[in-house]
Amino acid sequence: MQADEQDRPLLKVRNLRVEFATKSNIFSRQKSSVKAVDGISFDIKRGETLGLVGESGSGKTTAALAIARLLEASGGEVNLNNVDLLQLEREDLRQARTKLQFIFQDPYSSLNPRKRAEEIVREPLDSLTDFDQVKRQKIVDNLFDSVGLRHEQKKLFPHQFSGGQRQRLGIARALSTNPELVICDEAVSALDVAVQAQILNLLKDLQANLGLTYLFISHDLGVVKHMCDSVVVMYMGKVVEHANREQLFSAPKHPYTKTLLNAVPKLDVALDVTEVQNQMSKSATENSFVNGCKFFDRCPLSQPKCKEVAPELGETQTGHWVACHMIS
Amino acid sequence: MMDRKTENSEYLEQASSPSAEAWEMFKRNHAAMAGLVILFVITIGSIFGPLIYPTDPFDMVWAPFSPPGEEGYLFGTDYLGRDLLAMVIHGARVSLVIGLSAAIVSIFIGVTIGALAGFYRGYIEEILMRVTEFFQVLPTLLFSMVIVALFGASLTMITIAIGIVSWTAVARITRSEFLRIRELEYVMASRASGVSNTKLMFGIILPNALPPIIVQSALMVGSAILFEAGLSFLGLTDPNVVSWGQIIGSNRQYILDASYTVTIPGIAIFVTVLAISLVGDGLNDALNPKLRAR
Repeated sequence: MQADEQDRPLLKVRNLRVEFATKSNIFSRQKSSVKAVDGISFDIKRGETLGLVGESGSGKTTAALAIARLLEASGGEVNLNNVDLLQLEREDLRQARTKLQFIFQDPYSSLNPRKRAEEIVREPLDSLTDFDQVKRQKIVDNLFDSVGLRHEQKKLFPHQFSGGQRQRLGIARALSTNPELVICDEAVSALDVAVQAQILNLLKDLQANLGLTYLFISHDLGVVKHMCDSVVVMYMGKVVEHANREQLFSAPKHPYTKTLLNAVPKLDVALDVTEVQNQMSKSATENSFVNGCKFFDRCPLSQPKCKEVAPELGETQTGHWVACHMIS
Repeated sequence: MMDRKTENSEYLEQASSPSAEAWEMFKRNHAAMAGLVILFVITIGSIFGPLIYPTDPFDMVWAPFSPPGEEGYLFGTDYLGRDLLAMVIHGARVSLVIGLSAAIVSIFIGVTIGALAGFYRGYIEEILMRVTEFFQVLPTLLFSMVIVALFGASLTMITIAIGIVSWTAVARITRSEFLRIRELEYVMASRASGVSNTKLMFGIILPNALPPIIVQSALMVGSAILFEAGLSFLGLTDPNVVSWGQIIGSNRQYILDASYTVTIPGIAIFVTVLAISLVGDGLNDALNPKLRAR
């Protein structure tokens, strides 16, 4: 029974789709839409961290917002504890939010400039719980301790904090309702490297202490390697590779993942800029409407078949899923 | 460690809210402070003036068209021999109250419509913005004249008429601020915290959208005073109350013979509207974070 509970994934995302309608021209009846997230699926086990990586515009953040119901999904399922979040309405949805919280990318725009630090941290408690004032105050105090902020700072306004401290406030807010799943959307990319390390270690400590589960979105592969148990690679709204950390970083299979890993600048190896440029030079939006593989025109392995048929995500070895015709 | 602590305690002493910072900025603007002082004097004068100078503005106290200073009447008398100083003092109250309450009416309508349009978007926005545009293209003076003519020239009706024709600018400003702010991450964060739509609109977004609305409102008080003066000038006013515009309107036939009867209340309107504009400009600078020295 205990083992069952442990093994069952906390979050199951199935075939999640998000489409944005592009404004139809006044002269044409045709309605078109952009598929920002095009049917992605993955599981996150309780207490684990899943990394969602991809270049800008690949749909990572959109997917995360849709999972948190901050953006309407066009279809699919998002099961948290076997409850489909996408089907919830009003009060049920509000209650479900206590179990799922969000840490935002930009510590400067994610805190209301007109509220004091303690009000910001208390906001989820105020609107989602019916604890009395004393208990709320106690929770806020504890949160300030656990994210490493001093109690005298409770009355300050956001602009009086540094970037790292602001992100700590964002983390405290996300943890106030004692959530099970925390979505970190590029939670450290706006911070400088030294502060990044502090925040990442804070997140890891909190995970160990509170048993949190993270959906960790980042374009920084170094950070992902440090944080995540398994990694999903997205390209133009689709999952191209899904594997655990060791497999992905030691033996990447999808050509896009390989390119992505090669594109990471390393201190000791001179980056072959021209090669990366050759592969990444073409605009990613050019082929967004073709039926075949989205990576077709940038892929070193592309074949005529790739242009016609979109590859399905297939398991190449246990726990390692790749969507590519050339790998099987 | 000790060092860090003292440094931090100094930092804490500077703890100030955005509105306190704006006030600091406002205080440094001399023109705006002058405007505020003038406005303060006028307001106090309109409240306590009638007590200090209790002459009834409708009493015929002396011969008509007595020039300023004669027989102890500081501003002279009008075409009926009424004391012009008493009229200006008593009229201040009506002008200011109408200016202020008409501005409040239009801010209320404008903010509500702009907030709903900017927050909900979609067809609600389409409908509300078409309504706004409809009111925007109406000839304002004519429309308010029709309202006053239809429903009677009481002060309430005049206030409502001015409010109804001048809310469109506020609605558009509020909507554009809402469109900008609703996409910011802290609004998303509040949504993720389960904050209700009403609270999001009026508790989270509106306070952050206020600066341009406040500026617009300050300027609107000035234009509402002018509007009331315009209506009074055309005779669309309650004949039983004095306002600055009404003084000008009733004396306008004698503008060549006794120009002071029109100039003096005119100066009163000018000074008040100028003071309000200065305060409005000061607010604009003080509330604009881009101009704030960091």
